[in-house]
Amino acid sequence: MAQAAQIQPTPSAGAANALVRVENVVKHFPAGLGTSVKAVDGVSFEIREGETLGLVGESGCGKSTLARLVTQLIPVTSGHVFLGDVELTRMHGEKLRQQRRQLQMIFQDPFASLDPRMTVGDIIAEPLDNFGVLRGRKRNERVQELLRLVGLNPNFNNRYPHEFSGGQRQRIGIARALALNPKLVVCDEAISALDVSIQAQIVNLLEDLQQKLKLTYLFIAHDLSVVRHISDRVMVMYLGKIVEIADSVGTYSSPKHPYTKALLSAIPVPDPKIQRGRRLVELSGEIPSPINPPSGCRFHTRCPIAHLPTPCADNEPPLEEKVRDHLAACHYSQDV
Amino acid sequence: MATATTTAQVSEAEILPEQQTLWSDAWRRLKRNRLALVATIYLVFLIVVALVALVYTPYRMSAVGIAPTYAPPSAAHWFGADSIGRDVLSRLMVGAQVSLIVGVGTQLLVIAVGVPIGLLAGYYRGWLDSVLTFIINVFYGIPDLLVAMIMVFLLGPSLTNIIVAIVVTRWMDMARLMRGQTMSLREREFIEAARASGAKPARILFGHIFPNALGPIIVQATFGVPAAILFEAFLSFLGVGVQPPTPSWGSMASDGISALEYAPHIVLVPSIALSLTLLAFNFLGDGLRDALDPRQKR
Amino acid sequence: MATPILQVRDLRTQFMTDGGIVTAVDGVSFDLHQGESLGIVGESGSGKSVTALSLLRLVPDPGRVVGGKVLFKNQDLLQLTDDEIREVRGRDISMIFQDPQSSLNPVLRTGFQIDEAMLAHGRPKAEAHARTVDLLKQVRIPAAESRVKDFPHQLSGGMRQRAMIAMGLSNAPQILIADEPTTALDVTVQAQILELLGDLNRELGAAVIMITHNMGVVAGLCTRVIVMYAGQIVEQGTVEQIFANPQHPYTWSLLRSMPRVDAVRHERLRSIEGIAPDLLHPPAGCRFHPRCPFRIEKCYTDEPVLEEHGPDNLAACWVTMDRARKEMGADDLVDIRPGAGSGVHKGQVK
Repeated sequence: MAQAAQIQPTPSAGAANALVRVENVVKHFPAGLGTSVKAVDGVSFEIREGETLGLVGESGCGKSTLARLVTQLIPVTSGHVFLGDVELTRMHGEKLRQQRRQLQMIFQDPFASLDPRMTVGDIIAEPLDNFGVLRGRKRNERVQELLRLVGLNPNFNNRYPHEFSGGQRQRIGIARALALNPKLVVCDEAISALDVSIQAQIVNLLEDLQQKLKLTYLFIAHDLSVVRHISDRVMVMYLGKIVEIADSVGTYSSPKHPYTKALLSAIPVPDPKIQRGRRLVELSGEIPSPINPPSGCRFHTRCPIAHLPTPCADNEPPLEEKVRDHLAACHYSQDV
Repeated sequence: MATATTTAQVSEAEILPEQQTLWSDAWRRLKRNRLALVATIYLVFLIVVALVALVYTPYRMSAVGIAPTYAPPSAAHWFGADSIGRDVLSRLMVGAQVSLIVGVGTQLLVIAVGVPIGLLAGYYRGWLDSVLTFIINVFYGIPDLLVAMIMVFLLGPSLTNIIVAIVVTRWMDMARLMRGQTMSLREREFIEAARASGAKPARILFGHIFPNALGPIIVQATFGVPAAILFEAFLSFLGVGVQPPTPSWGSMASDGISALEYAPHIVLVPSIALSLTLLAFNFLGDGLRDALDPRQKR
Repeated sequence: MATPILQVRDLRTQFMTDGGIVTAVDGVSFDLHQGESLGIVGESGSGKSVTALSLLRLVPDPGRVVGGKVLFKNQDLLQLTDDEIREVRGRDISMIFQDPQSSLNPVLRTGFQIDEAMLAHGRPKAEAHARTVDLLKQVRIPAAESRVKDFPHQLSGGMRQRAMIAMGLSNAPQILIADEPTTALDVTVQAQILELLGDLNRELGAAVIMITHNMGVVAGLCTRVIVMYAGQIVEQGTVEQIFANPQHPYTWSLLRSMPRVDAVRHERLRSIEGIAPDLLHPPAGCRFHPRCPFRIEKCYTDEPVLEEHGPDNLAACWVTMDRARKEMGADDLVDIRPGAGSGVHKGQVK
């Protein structure tokens, strides 16, 4: 296997099967006095089989809520989530639980996402136990196999999570997510809490596992450079809406939404010669409240190229294909 | 295969700290607390005494007139004799059984009642929580001594009924604690992780939330033991507790109260035993709280 | 070059823990010059933050500065009385922290807290109050006149950090120490704060010490860089040299372990294998050797010292990347396991 791994050319829409389809999903949380936080507000996209779909956005944009809607850990306010041909949003209780075999999740905080009172072996075997798939010696063998798979010593299964470092704990979380051979793994800020050198270990591990096990990832992070590195396609969210979806090369080289451009310009490049020459696209003002989002395009209050008042403050731009396989929600995407 | 080697070999070089379970860690911290350690030793001694009393007491605890009435402590009767000439030490030993059974028994039942109610209220919230919280508040509202006396009066004064009466009036603290614990634990990421990996509600409640709340539960129960012992002693002192001839520290003290002036040992001996036991459980509770939850330590 | 305004010599800070003594900062020496911007980079546990706290004797219990000198204006800050060091803090040297949320008192108005910082150093009240508004304008808080009356929770994270910077600048300090000031912030806000810090550094001439784990932050803001690992400085140099030609394998690996947003093609990240050492039992010899691809026999036993390896460059390494490139084929190395480049695989190291 070649070491310097390869950008896999993104298959165009239709060519690859959609593993997950999200249609017009809305999630509003009640915020008292009849108001609601519009955390996710009408979002549609698909996750193709075998790809890594990246999701970036700043805090409060709704990306973590979206992760929990895709995995149906919280119910939608409206809209549909399909896993293959099965509509998850129509399922409850035991039926939905059975679908969890296919969708697993890796969490942000490696210190909070493992039950401190359980041994590593029991943590990793929890999905197996939940579905009663393997018992006794077979179960323990599977645990050891998983530990080996994520690069941990298979004899660590009797230890407790607090004995491990952050990176090791995240490996335990990954092993747990893989126990049932899921199709989709949602990584919610799975590396954000780790040190730089450890981040690289985990990113490489996730890439290796994807190749080996033919996994599909929804990879959520606030760090665009990591998301871009690991993803085939990148989706950018702002204030509960998706503003852009494109392959990771296209997102960087020719962003079609001014927010994506601002986000890219804000990420420091570890090279003084380049970094000093870069120009920051400064966004005016603060991120508006998701309780009362701006009219029209939600970004218009901070957008450097907005045409005000119309159309940007009046009409909401649809998320549409600007070039082949490159979607953006902007009235003036040609000016970005 | 290059990729496999990079992932597989990481572990080997990594040196982990010495293996320590959370419980052994807590025990280490508890041992460092002098008062808690002394209390533990005293309580172990008390348990041994109570067990020994099952098979051996210096005299038969109900034997009347084996010593002169009101006899002060002597070599033959270390703690003297009571108003009808019974050996106080023998009765104290049997009384320890009563106290421990009442203390520990009530708390086990309190856990059995309070924990599930608290778990359900805290995890499901909504209307179930409202109903259960309402019930808890109603029970807080009723006067415990009155209810206990009425219950014992109606059911008859047996040890079992006294324990039931104490549980009925004392389960709410545990339920309330468990509800609070559950509410904070259910927001923790590992609970969400358990749900994401397909855990059923029962497993989340009893497999994840309960074990993680075990520390506070144990602490609460440890503080509940002396309260229950005291309650039983008080009921027995009033005469509605454990019935003769079974001695309880409360009824022993009650028996001696009329002779307090000329035979104070009859009151003092069970009272001191009672006080020491209450103190020991409280010190142990304090020590456990610090040991099980190091974050709270100063 | 003129005399440095801050000279740190052999600084040592220890923490007395249950398990034993942890030397979090172990013999750190560096100079800070007038008006320069110095970056101190490292991962968690490298000792970068404790170094910053040690300079002002702000190390929390159970930590203690146990040795070394911090020379500022010909006086050793470590020898001052508590009252004297309090005078220095906030007036000559001020510090801003990672979490502006917990650095501001939630029940006091933001403006009042900035006033206080000046009143504490003897500025008259009216003057302090007027300056607070100017400061808030200087850190580009819009509607500064009304914002002074806001409580901290009414400000966004970025605004709070700006307010903290305003407080830090209130007494026109000569040195501003920023401890991970942007880690808790979103990238677009981070970029603005960094730009602000850069401008203030240029305009006010205050020297800035930037503590961060983010190499990108250093690249944009700093002129000189110190790289720390396991409580020690492993490399020190100009920002150009550190990024273009790092000499310590740790620096070199760290730079290659980060994905770059401007990467042209997908290259596998070069992770640093293993985990950071346990400072209770630091490895013998070079502390990086258990994770180093280029270690040699000497690294297991002998501790390297910071030595000059070129103009403006100090590195603590027996091998250095120049040699690793020439003799160990570092640039073409695919295997990233410890010892891979040198061929020294001495098994496990205690």
